[in-house]
Amino acid sequence: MSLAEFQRALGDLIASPVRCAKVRRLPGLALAGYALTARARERLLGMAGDPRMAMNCTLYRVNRLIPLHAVLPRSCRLLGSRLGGVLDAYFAGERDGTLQFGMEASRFAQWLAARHDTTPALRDLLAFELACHAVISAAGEPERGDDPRRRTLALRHDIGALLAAAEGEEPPPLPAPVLLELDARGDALVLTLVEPANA
Amino acid sequence: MNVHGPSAGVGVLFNPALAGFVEHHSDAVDFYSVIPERFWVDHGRGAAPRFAPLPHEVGLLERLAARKPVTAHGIGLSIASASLFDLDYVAQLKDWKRRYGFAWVSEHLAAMRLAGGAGSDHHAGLALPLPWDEELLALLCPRIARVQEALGGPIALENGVEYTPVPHAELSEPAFLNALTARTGCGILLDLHNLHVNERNLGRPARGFIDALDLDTVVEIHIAGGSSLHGIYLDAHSGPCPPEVFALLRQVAPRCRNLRGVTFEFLESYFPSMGEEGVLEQIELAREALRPPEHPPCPSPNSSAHSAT
Ligand SMILES: [Fe+2]
Repeated sequence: MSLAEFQRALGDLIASPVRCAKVRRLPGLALAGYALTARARERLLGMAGDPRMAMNCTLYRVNRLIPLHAVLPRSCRLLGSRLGGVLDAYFAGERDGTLQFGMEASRFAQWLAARHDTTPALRDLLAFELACHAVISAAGEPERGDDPRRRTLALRHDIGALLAAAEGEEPPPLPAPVLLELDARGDALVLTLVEPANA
Repeated sequence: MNVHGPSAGVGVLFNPALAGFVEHHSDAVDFYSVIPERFWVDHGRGAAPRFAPLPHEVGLLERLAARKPVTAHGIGLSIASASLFDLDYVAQLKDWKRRYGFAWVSEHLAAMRLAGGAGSDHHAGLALPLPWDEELLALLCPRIARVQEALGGPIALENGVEYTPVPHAELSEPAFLNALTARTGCGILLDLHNLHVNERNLGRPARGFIDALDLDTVVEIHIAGGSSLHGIYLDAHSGPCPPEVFALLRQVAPRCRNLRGVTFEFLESYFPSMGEEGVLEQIELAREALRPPEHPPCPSPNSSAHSAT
């Protein structure tokens, strides 16, 4: 059990430079929640004080960002300078990270869409990029009734304007919602504007 | 038993950017190494069904398996995680080994997952530094035995990179690996770039590691490139191998009597800067490094104990 507790504490240190600093400052308090042997405790203190620990913290952040950026690149761009703060909040609140790209991106998108300060434009872009990932991932699947290679989204923004938006800038909403169909059954992803959603 | 005859073959770690390479240049490699996790979605421990194959990716695997022998390089076992041992993952690996006839199976000697609450796992974001102690050996040996029993043969475990070593280890890393292979019969996947990374960042000489390791246990060698960030050299798989890695390959390969393959690893995001020509060049440089010199130098007293006969 002591190795498991050592690894749990080390995982928490790697996930948070703030926690590393707390272990350096108040080791008794910061490590109180782990059942550690004296040697494991001494090792963690040494590692938290090792300047090279910063690289582990950086890599943790980069590795958690990679799946999000791979699936949701335009959403990350639309967040602009807010991205760093949003990631801090997400990583702190959602510790059960996974490197399964689709799952991690979907969890992040749900978390972000539920925030009160997430704009309708960003919600549209998140939904669009997740849907793209889903239909493209299903591209090689055989045809069936509920075809995962096709999906229809109701959007309040012109998708072309959203994709072309400069970093941190959002286009105005459309006068009325539209339905956009994504179809990955052929060689390339096809986007078709169906009809105004309220027609 | 090497993939292409009496000497070690040269292969590449497959990524989707190599789909065209597979069509046009498969003659240049002796085998493909594949990351099995690229071919399925893992819904996590306890999910039913847990693994969902990705049809497009499986199609790619079938195309390359039709051309060349395939080896599996797993990244998801996390065999050194004390809080979990994922036998369902092992069963999945066994199933796919049978289906695609993997020539051998390798995994990282790593702890990357931690058991979380409510049955979910937390990915540590990177391989946690490991304490090279008897306690870890005692954890790993029965696990490796079970994995090998399931797979019907030895697994090769890969040495990793450390940015912050665990202090006061009971053993050096090569001594730990020697104990592990002696007790379980598993093999070693020797990643030379990882040794190079540790030499640059931690001042641990790669050659010292190699001299201390039982090289008869090495079945595969990884070569790769890296890059620097904030003064730290990273195992970034960011393109061509540095010359130091080829120098290590030239030195170590002839001493590994059971070496089956040398694999070049790179990330697909670096493919545009390398192109197919760049990949072919790395394969050719690896072949050159494996070729016996025309006038072999006299063996040094230190290396004679490990020399191939
Ligand atoms: Fe490697």
